[in-house]
Amino acid sequence: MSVIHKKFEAKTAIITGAAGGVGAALVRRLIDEGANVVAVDIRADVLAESLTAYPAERVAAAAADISTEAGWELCVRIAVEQFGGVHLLVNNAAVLEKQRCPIYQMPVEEFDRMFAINTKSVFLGLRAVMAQMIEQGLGGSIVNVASMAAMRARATAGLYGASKRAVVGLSNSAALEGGQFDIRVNCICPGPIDTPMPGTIKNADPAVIAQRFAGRALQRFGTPEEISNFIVYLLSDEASFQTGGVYTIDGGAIV
Amino acid sequence: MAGKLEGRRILVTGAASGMGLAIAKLFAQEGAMLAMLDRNGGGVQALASELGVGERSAHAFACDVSDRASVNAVVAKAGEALGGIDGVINAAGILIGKQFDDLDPESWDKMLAVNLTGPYNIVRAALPMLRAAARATIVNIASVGGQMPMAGMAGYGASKAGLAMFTKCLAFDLGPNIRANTICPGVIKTEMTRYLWENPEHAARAEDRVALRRLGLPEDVARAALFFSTEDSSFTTGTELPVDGGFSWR
Repeated sequence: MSVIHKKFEAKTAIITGAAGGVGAALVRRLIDEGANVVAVDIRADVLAESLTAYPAERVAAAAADISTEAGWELCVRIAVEQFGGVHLLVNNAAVLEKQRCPIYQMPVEEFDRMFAINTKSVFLGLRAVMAQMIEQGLGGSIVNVASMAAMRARATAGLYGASKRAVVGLSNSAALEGGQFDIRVNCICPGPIDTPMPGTIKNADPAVIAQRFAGRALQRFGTPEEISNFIVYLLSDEASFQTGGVYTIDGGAIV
Repeated sequence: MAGKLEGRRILVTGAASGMGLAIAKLFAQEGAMLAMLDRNGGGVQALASELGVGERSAHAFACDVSDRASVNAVVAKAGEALGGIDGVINAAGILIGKQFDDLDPESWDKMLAVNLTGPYNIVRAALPMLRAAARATIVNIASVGGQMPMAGMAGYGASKAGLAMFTKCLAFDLGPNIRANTICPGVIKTEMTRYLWENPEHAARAEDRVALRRLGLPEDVARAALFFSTEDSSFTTGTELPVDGGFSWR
């Protein structure tokens, strides 16, 4: 019998981007491990569809715009009113550039859009959820999803990389601030994942993909389940002495 | 529910004390078959008697990881006893804290020999068996001392930084069937750090620098080693995992 089993009984998690590849895998895994879940996604129809398999008493949908304070007030209110509080947070929602181009040709509104969804949402989420966790006095665990683009620059993806590097910075500071309240905050930097996220490398020519993976240790895409496994580990008491960490999950891509 | 390492054959160095001991105990609980190495042969023998109960398989070997001939012989015997090796944990290590003026060549040589060449010796000896395994894992225990500079730690820091980069390169050379990852513990309460946590002033200062306001326990590191040794980390290789309570400077 594994000593590590049903990690999240009586705990409630808020997960953003819950209808997407990694988000959906996380919802599934957290429910399996005993958690209640507030699943957040701005795409109300897709979100509702993605949750039909779960018992209503274990999962709540929040069709919220997480780049706004009101969006986060809604998420926290649902967690408190339906499940009694929040103990886990995964800031997973993000967008890529609508079109890849150099910084000197990038429309200004694209900066505002990407930073609002990728960075400001994480700030607002940390702000709202950490305040609630501190009031609850039970500690908590938070994982922010950045990207390997935060660790390594790529031409024509400057906004994405910058918006994600800012997530790393927020995450590290939040870890220092949360420690005294037993709130752990960690950050993951996934590499290329096989998800339906628009604009990912998966949509490219197979020859391009093969070239992209040449020289990487695992030579393949990651799966949403693999990313969610790492997140679940960091959320759990198995990682009870880990905070302020920045972890690459990229199949051995970054030297 | 089966243990997370049910049937996996794992070799652990430094198993007689500290983090290696905690790793061996947790891995046994999770169903692993173990080969436990330590220069303290009596210590690992006693551990094997404790852990090798019922269907559990636990084998002990006296071994100095800096002695290549001994490592080659012992790893071969370990592989024979287990019927192969699926994973390696390099937890053996020594710390000689000396300001550079006092860092004598013997201390430097010894730290490099145990902390850096030791894992090289172990992985090289185990490699044919790791290659024969379906999905093999290597976990090397480095240190936050290899990630951030600290006074008096030039030798130790260099050996642990070297171990971290060695492990990253292993990930590329040995992938995709063998994953290699590094754990970077912070201040963990073991015999090696007794000088620090036994002194209330030093302990308070160490705790103060850590976001979680406490020293780490060997079990904290053991759980991280378990994570890296199972399919829960299947897309993770060549990475460093600080287990430091929020200590490292980034």
